[in-house]
Amino acid sequence: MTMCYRELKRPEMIAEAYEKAVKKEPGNEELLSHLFMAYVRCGNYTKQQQTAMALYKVAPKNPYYFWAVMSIVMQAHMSDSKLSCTMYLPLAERMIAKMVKENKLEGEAELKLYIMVLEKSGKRQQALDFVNGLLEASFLGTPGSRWNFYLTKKAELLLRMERYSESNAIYRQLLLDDPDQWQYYQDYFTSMFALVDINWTPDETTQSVSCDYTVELALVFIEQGIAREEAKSSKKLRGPYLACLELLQLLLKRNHSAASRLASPLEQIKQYFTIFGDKNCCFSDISNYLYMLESETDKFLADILTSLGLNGENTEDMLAKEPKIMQRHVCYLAVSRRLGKHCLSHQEKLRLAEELIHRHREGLTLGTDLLTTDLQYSDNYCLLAVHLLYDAWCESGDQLLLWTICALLESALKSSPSNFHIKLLLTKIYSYLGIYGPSVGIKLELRHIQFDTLGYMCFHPALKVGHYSAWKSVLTEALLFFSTNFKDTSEYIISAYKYGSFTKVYEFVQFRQRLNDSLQFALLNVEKNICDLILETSNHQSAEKVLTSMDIDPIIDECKWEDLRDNRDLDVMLTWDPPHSCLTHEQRHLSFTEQKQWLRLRNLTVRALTAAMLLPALPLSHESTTSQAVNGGGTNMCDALLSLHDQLKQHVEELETEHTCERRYSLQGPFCTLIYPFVTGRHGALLLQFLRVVQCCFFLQDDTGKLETSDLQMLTLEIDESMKLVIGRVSEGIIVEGNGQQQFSASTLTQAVLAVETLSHGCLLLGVCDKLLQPLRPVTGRKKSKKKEETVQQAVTSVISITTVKNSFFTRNFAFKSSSIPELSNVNLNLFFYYYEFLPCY
Amino acid sequence: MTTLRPFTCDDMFRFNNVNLDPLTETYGLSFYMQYLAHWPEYFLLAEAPNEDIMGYIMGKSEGHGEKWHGHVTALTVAPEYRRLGLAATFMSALEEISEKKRAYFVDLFVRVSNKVAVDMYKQLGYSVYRRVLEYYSGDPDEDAFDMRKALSMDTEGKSVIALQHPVRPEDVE
Repeated sequence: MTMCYRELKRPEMIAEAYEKAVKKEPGNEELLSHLFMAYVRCGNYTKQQQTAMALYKVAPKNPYYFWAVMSIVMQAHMSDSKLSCTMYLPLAERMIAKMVKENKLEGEAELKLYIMVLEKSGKRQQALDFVNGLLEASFLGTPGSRWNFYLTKKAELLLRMERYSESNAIYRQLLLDDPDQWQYYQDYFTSMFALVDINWTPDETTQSVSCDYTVELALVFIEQGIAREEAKSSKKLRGPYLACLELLQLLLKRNHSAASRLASPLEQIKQYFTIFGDKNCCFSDISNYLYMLESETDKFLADILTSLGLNGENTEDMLAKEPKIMQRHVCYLAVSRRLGKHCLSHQEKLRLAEELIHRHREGLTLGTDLLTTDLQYSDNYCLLAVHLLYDAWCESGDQLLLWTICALLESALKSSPSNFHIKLLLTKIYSYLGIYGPSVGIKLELRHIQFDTLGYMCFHPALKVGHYSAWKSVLTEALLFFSTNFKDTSEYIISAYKYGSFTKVYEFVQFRQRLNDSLQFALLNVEKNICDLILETSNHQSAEKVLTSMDIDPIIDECKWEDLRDNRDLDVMLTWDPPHSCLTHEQRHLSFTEQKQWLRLRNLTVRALTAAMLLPALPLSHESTTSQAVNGGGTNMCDALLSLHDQLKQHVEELETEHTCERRYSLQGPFCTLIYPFVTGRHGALLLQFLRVVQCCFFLQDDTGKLETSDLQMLTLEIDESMKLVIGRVSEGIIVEGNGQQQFSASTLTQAVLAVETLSHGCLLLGVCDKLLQPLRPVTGRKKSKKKEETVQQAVTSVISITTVKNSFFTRNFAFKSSSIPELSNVNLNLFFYYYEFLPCY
Repeated sequence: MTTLRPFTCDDMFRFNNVNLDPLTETYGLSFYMQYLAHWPEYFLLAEAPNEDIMGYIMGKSEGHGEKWHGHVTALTVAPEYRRLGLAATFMSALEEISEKKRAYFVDLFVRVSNKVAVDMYKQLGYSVYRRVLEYYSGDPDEDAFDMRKALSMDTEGKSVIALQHPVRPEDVE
């Protein structure tokens, strides 16, 4: 039965069932356990606590006791800091302290929980004393091991308590054992500088373990670290070298004289390159330190290039003969790009790109023995060339460059089918061109959580060009992931209790919430509704059915705007751009805001459509009592419709003001939304006009004469105008002249997609009008209603005229589609021949 | 230069540079959460100075008596952080934790065609214990090597004496 309720997403029913069972058998350990788990599913921490204590009374086992403690800690997490500090945390602390006194703590998890509670209460000294009192062997990490909880926790506590000398001493020791841990270096430097700032000196009572309390001591320590690496014949660790660079950076920032004691940035980075230049990670290791080169940038680059020996006279000598040298050369190129050396003239960019393409092609010969699951050694040459060509396109707008990039990448992908950087770039560039079909063949193969983090790579490109079938299938899969998240994750929260991984309880709860609040999830939900309205409805009855089954509330906005989380992974694509061209924090925020604006637009649209659909058609006899109720309900929905109309109007106006041009983020960044095409295509205006028609038709049912006949006539004219505009944009054709050649106009295609959507909504709303006007048609005879009859006639005429225009649009659209396909193929063929000439090898 | 630390749920939002690699599978949430809930000590991650995820390892401990052992479920390193000895670092961390838990040996399954991995494990002291027929489903199914390394509890090295005949997946406990 539990499983049944779980599937139905009614966890409270499970709890109820077990409550009843426990009432019958209060001493049953198993039932009580299940009751506890039922409360975990519901997130009812108070009841969890009570049940756990009841369990402990029945069977005094540690796990049950700590379940109670953890429930209290969860209550502390969920309440404000005052309550958690004055009530929950002290209670939890007391409970564990009792066990400590009685020497009853068993596992590492319980120890960690106690430390966590003390830390959260701000009682660091107690936490430290507790850790000191434990054996190092209590924790699975040991000295010389990779992750040493005992020592790192001590060091961390000491650092926070500003006992820098003791903290520094521990980090120093940890680094001697493991010189490759970046986090230790950072904390070592922090504590060292803190000691320097307070002019600390050791006194007689200081502990025996040494700490480095001056810059000189730190210099010696770092230099010794490097000396140890230099003496090695085996693989060198990157840690000590990077630490030296980091120390130099910190000293330079402080204008400290000791900076001159260390080797200069030029020497150090050159040395790093010499030792580690053939490793893929070299670029990302040094990129943040490159700015220190300042005026010596050119010297650095020249020296590196000379050391590679690749600038021979002969074209053959120019090429790298070995993968390691090739990797070094790629690193050199990446560094020069990072330093801004790729900001060349248009011609120079193209020339350099051509050289890199040549190197890529020749470099493939070195990788013939590689497996299909490996990346080719020379792939990054191709990517660098693509970045250059993209820069050139940004300047010139010559679409041929984008087609060239696609050809390059497709060819490179054939040689290196596992290179996901190529795949991501292709998907991006195809989208800029307004194409989706080939992207399907690229097979990015997203799974599970990748729908949230990388879904934006598939969703936007498909939606932008109206590739509805692909869009729908990926949409369904993604939504399934999100909707099962809450249910499935709850089971693992229960597991965390069962296995005593208490620190994971809060982590899982946060994770579940983060997924639930995902912006992507909200967007997918609303886009699915719109997609269904377009694809799954063929007449008004089916539209009504589909819309009512969606369970949308027109009156209450169920979207939690403040809680929305941007879970997109915008760092996955490779970039070697200079810092000012990379995706900045502000741009990420801008993109997030833009996505939310688009979500709001769709949210209001769908709710307005629902409100319209739910408007009741009043029965003929207005005097009956039932009609009062209907009238009341009708007024409610009518008010909702009015309110939504006004909100939508205001939102569209805000969007028009803010989005005055097409946004473009960096190549590695997110896509923009369809807001700009939406506002320039006047789709918002058209939709609002349709909504007003519905309102008019609703008021027509009223005898109060709220409606003037001229209102409806005016609306009809307005709609006519708007439709002309919309159709005009679409009729521009998808092949345009540009740069002396024919180019594919992706924006027209987008306008067509938006037009289909808007007019589809229009159809729906006209269907509502039809339904509302239906009962009024046979009204005849009475004088009062004669005027009404006229109005109705006019309304009907208007509606018919709108429908006619709409029909003509669809006919034209169809014609446009069928005519443009052969046209498009011609253009495509021409373009293909063009770039086949340009790149004979391909 | 790495930071080796425990894997957390939030890391799942950032591991694409590792998981987009063709040999790395992105599993459903239940898979990761099961390991995080039950064996968090074995689920470790390496982070670069620029906060990129370099790779991660997932493991567990299971069995009874002399069959109590550590197991490597998944080990993966992002393409741009290869050839840095990271896999060896992860394996040594897992072995150390297994030693602390007084396990007798560590074992793992690897595709017989994955020569690079097999050689790497051999260099780290692992040997082929048995061959498991059609362990990996696919088109076609592929056999796996069950490779093992004895730990200090196994004083006589009994756990790594290779079997003479291959076994089927059903025979694996």
